[in-house]
Amino acid sequence: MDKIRQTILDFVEREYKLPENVDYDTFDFVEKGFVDSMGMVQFVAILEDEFDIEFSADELLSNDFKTVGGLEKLIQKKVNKK
Amino acid sequence: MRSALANLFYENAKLTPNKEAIWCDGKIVSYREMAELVSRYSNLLLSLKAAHGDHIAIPMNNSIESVALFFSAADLGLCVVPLNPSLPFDAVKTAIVAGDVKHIIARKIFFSECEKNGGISIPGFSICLDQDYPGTIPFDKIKEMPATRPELDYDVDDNESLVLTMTSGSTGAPKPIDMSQKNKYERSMAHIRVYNLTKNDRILAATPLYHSLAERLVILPLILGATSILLPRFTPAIWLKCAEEQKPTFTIAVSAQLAQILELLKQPDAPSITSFRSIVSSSALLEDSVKYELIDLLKCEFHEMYGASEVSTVTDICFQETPNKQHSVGKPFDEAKIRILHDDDNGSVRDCAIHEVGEIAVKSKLQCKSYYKQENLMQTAMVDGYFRTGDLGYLDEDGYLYFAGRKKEIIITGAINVYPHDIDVVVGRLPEIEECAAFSYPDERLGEIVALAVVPKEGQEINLRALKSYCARNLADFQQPHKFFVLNKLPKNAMGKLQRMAILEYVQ
Repeated sequence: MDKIRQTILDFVEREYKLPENVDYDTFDFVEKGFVDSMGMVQFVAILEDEFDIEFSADELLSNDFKTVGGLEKLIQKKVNKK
Repeated sequence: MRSALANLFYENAKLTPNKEAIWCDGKIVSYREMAELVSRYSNLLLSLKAAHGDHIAIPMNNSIESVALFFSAADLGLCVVPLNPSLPFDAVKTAIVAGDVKHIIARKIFFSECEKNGGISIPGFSICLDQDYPGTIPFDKIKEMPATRPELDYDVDDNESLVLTMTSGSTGAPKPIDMSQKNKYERSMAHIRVYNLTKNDRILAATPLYHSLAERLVILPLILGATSILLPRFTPAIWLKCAEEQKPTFTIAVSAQLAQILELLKQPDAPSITSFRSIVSSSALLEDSVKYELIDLLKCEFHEMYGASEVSTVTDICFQETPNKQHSVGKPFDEAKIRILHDDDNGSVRDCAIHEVGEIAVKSKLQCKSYYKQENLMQTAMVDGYFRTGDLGYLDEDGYLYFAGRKKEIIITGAINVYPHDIDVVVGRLPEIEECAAFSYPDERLGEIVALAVVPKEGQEINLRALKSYCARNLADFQQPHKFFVLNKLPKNAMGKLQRMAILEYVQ
């Protein structure tokens, strides 16, 4: 599996596995409680460190930050821009 | 002699086999099915040579299998060491040593994380809950086990340890709170009595199972013959949806959750929640406005309680019944007595006068056994049989307790206790840091959040981004600093002692 997706899933699924056959592009892991506000602080720092990128405040609040697929694309875009 | 907790549960399974025992994440399990699961779990552990008194660690999530493990451990006379799944590797290693852990039950991600970090050595077996993982037993083996309660050739005593709850984080010496089967039984019985709980109640647990509050809220219904509703994860929306669909009648919630739930309940499209008979708020004082709006919207009895993991719930108050004591946390349970203590300068301790603020000390039949293998620490916290809570408060002329703050340097974020010293030690390892201190910062959503003040060594600069990454990788999620302050010194008293409580004022 792609490293970006694996890093995201390792964190999101730390306590609970995502449901079987979940649609990564639409499943909102924040709304469903897989990452809470305390976990989010750690999640952002790990992603920024792992991929040497920095998220803007708008990006953190965007819908992309709530799905595995959206976040994967966002990170990929930022990595490509470097 | 068999475990009283397990006996009560199995009796309920016999009396009402088809009744709903537990709901979690959309799955309903009847008492008969739950008894079979507990028995299969016990038989699995016995087949792997789990021996009487063994300690089993589990990075615990809220699931029906986790609840079954508590009852299986009770039945076999084993001790569960629940761990926060977000603990970093070093903290897991420390907890495993402090908790004398012999066996581990975990998900694949835990074992692979351990392997990446050099592995964890335990003398017993490892069970992998979700998938196959080298060197572990797949949990699926449980399906091959007999569904009947195993016979034992030894007695299980009520004073045996059932749960070790880790109270401290990633470094130093954690203080595992040692709770016996009797503790868990008596705590459940006290709550059943105080809140008039019956078999007809549907009891909601919405906090993590690795804390004693949720443990109580799942053990209690199953020994009472009621129904347990276990929220897998908390968000206010998930809580409301669960309340709307599962119709719980009773819960003990933490105040930070209730404030978030209220926000959603006030939305025009919010569901109407009418099933609750009573709700208890715990962990920190609720703001008056939140309290009154919740009473208005949920239309149920509203209680507030005061307690600590070591002594369980100490006081309770029902606001509708005592309108003239709106800011009190209530009167003691029958099992508990309170003293308010003041340390005099000469080293002696005296009782405070009515309305005089001092440290809340509690003598309770519900007190835990001790801190595991650290009885001296428990002794240090005791005065004439009273446990010094580290909280400040006072009593009024009618014996009602009022909470007035904390003496202990502790941060309570979203109802989780964070020990700032644990964070100081981890961050203090960085070579560019002269000194640092984590401290409590007020937050509307979580009540408090962790903030960190750092002082760089002379000539050094702090790279905040690198510092955040370091924290993310070396501290648990609940220990993450949300705010960082770079200072040229920390506030200290004349003796050079850090004044942690003064940092907030200092940075502002």
